[in-house]
Amino acid sequence: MQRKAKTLSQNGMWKRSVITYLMILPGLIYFIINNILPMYGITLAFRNVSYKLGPLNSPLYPLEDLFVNFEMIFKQDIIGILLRNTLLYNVVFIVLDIVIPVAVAILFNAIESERSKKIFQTAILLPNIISWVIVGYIGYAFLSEKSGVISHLLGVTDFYHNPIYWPFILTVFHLWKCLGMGMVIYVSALVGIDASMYEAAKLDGATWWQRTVHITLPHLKKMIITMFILSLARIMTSDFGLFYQLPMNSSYLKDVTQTLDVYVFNNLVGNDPNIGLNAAVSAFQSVVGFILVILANFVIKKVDDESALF
Amino acid sequence: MKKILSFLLCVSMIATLAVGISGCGKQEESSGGRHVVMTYFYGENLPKDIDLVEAAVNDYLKELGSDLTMEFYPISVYSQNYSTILMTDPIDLMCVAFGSSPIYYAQMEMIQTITDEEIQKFCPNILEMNDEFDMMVRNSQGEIVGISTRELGFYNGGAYVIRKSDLNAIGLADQYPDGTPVTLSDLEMIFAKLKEAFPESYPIVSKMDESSHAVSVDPLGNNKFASGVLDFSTNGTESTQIVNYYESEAYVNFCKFMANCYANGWIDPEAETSTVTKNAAFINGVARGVLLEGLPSLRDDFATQVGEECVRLQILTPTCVPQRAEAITWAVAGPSENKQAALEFLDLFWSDVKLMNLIQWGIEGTHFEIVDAENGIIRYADGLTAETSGFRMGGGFYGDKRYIYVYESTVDTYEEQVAAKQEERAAMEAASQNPSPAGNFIYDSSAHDVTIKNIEAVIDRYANIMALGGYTDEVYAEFIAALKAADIDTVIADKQAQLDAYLAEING
Repeated sequence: MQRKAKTLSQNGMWKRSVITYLMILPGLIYFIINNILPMYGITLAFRNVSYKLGPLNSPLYPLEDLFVNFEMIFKQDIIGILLRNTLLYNVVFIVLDIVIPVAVAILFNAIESERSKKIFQTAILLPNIISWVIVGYIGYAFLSEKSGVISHLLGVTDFYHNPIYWPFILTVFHLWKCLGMGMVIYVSALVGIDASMYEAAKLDGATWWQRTVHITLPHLKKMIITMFILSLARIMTSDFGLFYQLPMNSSYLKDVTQTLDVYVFNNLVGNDPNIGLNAAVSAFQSVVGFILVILANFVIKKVDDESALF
Repeated sequence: MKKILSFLLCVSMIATLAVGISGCGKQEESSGGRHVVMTYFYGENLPKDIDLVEAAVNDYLKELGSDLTMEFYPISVYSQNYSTILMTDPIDLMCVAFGSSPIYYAQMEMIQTITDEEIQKFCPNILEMNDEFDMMVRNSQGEIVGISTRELGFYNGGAYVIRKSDLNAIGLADQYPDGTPVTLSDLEMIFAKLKEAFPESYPIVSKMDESSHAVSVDPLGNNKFASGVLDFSTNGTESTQIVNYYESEAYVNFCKFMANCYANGWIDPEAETSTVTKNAAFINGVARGVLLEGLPSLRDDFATQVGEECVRLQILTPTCVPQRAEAITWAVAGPSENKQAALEFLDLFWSDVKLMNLIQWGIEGTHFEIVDAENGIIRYADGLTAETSGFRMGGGFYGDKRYIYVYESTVDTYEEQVAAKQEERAAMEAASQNPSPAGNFIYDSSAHDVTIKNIEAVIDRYANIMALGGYTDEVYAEFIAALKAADIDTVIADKQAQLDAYLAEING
């Protein structure tokens, strides 16, 4: 009798859960189509791609030449510049994308007025939804030689001719555009911290800085590590819009604006439609990202098991 | 109620996804037989009567037993997306243009090679036309990779167009009548006077493409000059010696000229990043002149737009460099299973005056009326204008261009227009008399793919900077040293060997 009741209860739960499972289904299908099936495309990096046969019917290179597309990339002189730019910008972005959003999130959390919070949140998030094409022209309005506001204020007229400024300009625009989203993630973690801990610390005479260092940051640690590991996965990729649209494709700036993604794009829209070669670049990006994620997670697990992502 | 709504929402999302998935990868199947799918381009806006014209083309073709689907692309998209288009659209006939190499595309199997037997069998008209003007583009194995357009000669002569009133204002109208050849030194003098007379404007606002306006070369199939060129400016059109373009005297002169232009404020300092087109800048007066590539009659288009007479100053001696990276080639797309029908249609397209003008200008009576059949002059139908007409394809990237109609001029008298058309033909004939000695040779660079990429990377890094006035002796020396380090001399030697072998073969 008890068993029958349990079965009925399980059936009831299952029925109640059907809707929930159904709601997962569209996302799951999307995930399979958008993220899983295209993984097969990684084989293009090892194929002698023929337009006649189609990309997926093109033959794989024989085993001894399997990495011929990769060899072709690494034999090119430009690869040094591409790797340098991609890696260095990402290292800077990874650090700043943690430090600054965390700091802003903590400051944001200290605002007491709900109205002010809403205004600041909207202002900081807004750049995130503006396309890079528009941001490119906003940048141009600030930096152009003839009519740029900043050019006139600083008396500098060669922003688009002098690469020396661009590592800073790119970093500033990246932060301006991405800060909002990073901040929201950390704010969501801050909201979960028990307010009584702050009250208790305050009663014990802890200053704002001490409360931040000893309560807030330890609670954010797991989120920071998660974001760090996810950033490592993208260490060989770059924000195409940032590096292509913002510098207006100026010839003078290519030394500091060419990354692997810009290189692939230029190849594909230029006169070299070698899909295998460009797929090899993408495969290289993914593999490096994958290895770094595994390594970083392994190290974190050794140091602090609970903070590891998996 | 909430559950029912949630359930319905889920079902509708899944259904939408399913519909989306079923649509993915669904291509218009080529019907086989004599149905041909061809690429076609438009400028900025798709003409509104495009379906009407396509239907008219098919009505016309029905009598001949074939039918056609035209896949339309904006030129800007098409020129940068050959690979995507071939992967996604079922193309039979495709245009390879805008600096792309049909030989490289054939190597990549993006286009099919065509045998001489197939041309004999399916393209008798093209074969006949080929006797007087070689239109077959061949690779180093002698296989045909495409058919170029039939022109009187590819007109490779850059020019500077300026309002006659401006020339008057600086006191040079008598000295420089229309068509006068000018050197870069002449241009410097003209630019200086223009800047003095119109300090708020610039003589030019766009960076100069030296290969169109300052250095006459035949790159023999490599549009970035990474493998050396025949340099007509320095060595004349007789030499078959391939040289490093960037070491030529003409190129150095061009770089110094551009540096001078920037230093003196004769060119908009934001020429590279500006969003205003050079034509628009000329029309609205920001630029006092405009650099022009192509036929002399294009000057009249500017005259129409600015509403006053313009003068064209010839910078480069026109030369005939046919059927290579600069020209327009039509080819059978790699994935096509309709090769025979594609070639048969191409043959018709190249020889049928009605068909080629139908595709270029639309339907006679609806979009245009013939004014003078002998000289090929038409006008807009029923009081239509260029702005109100539902169809007008200015490009004309196909066919026998001798038989493409032209619209009557709105500023010239009829006699003047006929004279202009004759001038145009004479200019092309003159260019044909000044051909590249390399004939139809195209360099096969497949043995040096990586080296060429390295050289191109160096060119990308320096050449644009030179064209933007960045020349100094030090930067130039650095540029040449980088080219040498990238092994340009080895590629030039290989290209020279291939050219010598080709010339030896055709000269018996």
